[in-house]
Amino acid sequence: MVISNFIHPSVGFLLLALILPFLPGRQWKWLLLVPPIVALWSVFSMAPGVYAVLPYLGEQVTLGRVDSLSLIFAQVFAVMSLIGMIYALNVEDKGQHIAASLYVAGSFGCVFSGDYISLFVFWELMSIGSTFLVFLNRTRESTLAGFRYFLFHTVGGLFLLGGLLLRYKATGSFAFDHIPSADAALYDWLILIGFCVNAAVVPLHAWLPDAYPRATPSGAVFMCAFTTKTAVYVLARGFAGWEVLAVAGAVMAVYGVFYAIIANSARRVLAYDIISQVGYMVVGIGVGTALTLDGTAAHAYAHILYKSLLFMSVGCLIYAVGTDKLEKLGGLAERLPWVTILFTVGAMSISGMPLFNGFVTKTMTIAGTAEAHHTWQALALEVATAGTFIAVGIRLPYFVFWRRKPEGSWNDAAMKPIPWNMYAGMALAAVLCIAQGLYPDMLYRSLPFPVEEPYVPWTQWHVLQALLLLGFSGLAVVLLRGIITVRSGINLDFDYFYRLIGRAVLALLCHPFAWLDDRWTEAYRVGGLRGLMLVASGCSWFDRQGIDGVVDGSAAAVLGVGRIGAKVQNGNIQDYLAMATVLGLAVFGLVWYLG
Amino acid sequence: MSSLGAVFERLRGQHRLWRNLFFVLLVVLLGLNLVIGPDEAHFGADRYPGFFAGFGLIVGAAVVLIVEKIVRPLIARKEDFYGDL
Repeated sequence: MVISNFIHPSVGFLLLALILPFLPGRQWKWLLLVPPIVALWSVFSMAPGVYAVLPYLGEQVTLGRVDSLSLIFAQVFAVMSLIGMIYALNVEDKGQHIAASLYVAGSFGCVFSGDYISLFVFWELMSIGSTFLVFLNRTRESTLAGFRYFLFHTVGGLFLLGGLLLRYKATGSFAFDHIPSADAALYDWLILIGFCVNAAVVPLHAWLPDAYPRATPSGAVFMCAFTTKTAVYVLARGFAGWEVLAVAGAVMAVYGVFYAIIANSARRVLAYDIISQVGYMVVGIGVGTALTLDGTAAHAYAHILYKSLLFMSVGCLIYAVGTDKLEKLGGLAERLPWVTILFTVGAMSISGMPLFNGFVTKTMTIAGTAEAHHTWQALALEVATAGTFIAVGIRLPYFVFWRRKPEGSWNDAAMKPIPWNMYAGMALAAVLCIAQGLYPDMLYRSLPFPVEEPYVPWTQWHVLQALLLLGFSGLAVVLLRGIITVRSGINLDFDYFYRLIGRAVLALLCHPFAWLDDRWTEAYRVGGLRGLMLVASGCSWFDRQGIDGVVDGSAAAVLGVGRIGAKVQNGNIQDYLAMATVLGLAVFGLVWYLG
Repeated sequence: MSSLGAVFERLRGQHRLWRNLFFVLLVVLLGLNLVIGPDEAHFGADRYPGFFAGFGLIVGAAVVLIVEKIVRPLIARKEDFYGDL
């Protein structure tokens, strides 16, 4: 969609997803880089304004609300899409690229949406695209996790849909703007719950550590960047200053690191730490001052870069040695030295170490929270900072890279060399992590909310405070190193209760539906089948009586359709979901065209 | 093994040296905290030197002890607890 100087970044990704299945040969890979480059050019050249306002179902939908808040998120999404596509260049499976493209298109769509209709459509597109990034890992584990992920996001989407329809009924508008907490109605809470599902607010979070460790390695890189950060964007847009979010964010920050410290899979450690890091952003939104909202936007930017770098590094481990289970790793610093260095850049960034970007964004959020007299939340974020350093800055690199290789772990001879593009994607992210840490203005000048006194991270005290906090929490680990272990297994979380609820719903539905199905099958056998046989013999007689030629043609067509039908009905719900998506998009486009 | 890998192997062999350097760094940081402090105390006690050192040490130790000794024994299950594998 090109309107004046606004080129919607989603268009390139949607086109890529559309044409990719039909491209032969191997050179199509280079096309993967085109949509991110167009998106980068687009977001760094677009001017604030309202673009692409289109009629849809008798309403006006705004696909291009461009302001300082949407721009900063769109910028980092564009950068991330380039990093992700470079990292995924070696992936042969076109399905993964199509899913990633739809997912990224959905994220850009949400960021530029000015109304709940288009927001909902793009929101669901994200959900479907990301579900396939889990499915396409093609293991039993990932298929089951993909279903749980999709179910949970469908429930979240239904909350959003219910809220936006009730809101329309009450206000007569689909406009997506800030909602003051004092005026909140039930429908606003429903919308908030829908957003909180994607932000992984505890206790609606367990889909994240369930699905991300089971996604494809490159899929997890995309997922760690887009879903929760799109949710952070919509929360910052619609729910800034809601005190309940300040409390929820503090809980997330601490809860996430507690689980990260004892998780056994490297990607699960990182997944739990996403919850913790998004907690900082949710606190910033809940406190709702200009400084904390800027801190939220800045931290989202930094987090996308360093978390993707960490997921890419762990993706390299999976590629090279075939696992991310901590008990099967160790001694990899010598064998994968560049991965070790790049991982360390990500780990120092997420820990908020001076020289890296986490330092200039995390401290801004905490300082803003403390200045707004949310002392307990600020203290919780300091606790989370110490915990993050222990989980990702010390425990993870120690067990993966620095301890001696355990007996019976990865096989040195079977180790696969890592393709250049994976290193290139990581290097780009690492350079940006360091550049933003050294020159915070390259990030700060894009911040959306003007403040009276700009935050200055590089002061003697801020550096010393960060080093004291991290250094002495590191000392605690040195003193207690004997009890920090890795053990095979999982840790129970709220998904235990989700599964109980799921089983109860299934039991409630199964019995009546099974009974109905039995009756229907019987009725079909007695009545329907006989009727069909009757029609079939009539047709046979008609065919034999002289119009063979015409009917044979029809029969061939019917046979062809039947074959396609048989092929389509393969029993894989993943495939049905893909077809439903294509059909849904076609109906959406048709209604738009005819309306 | 690459030359960078060999450097890392050598670094690992010198872990006692690195640990001692780390302790020296902590002492230096504490010393600096005697002369460098915050312009404004957000939490009250953070106006005193050593607050963030003590906070980091106590919180770090408490977090490790709580999750390893209390939380993990309660929630740890076998890898295939849910039958997903």
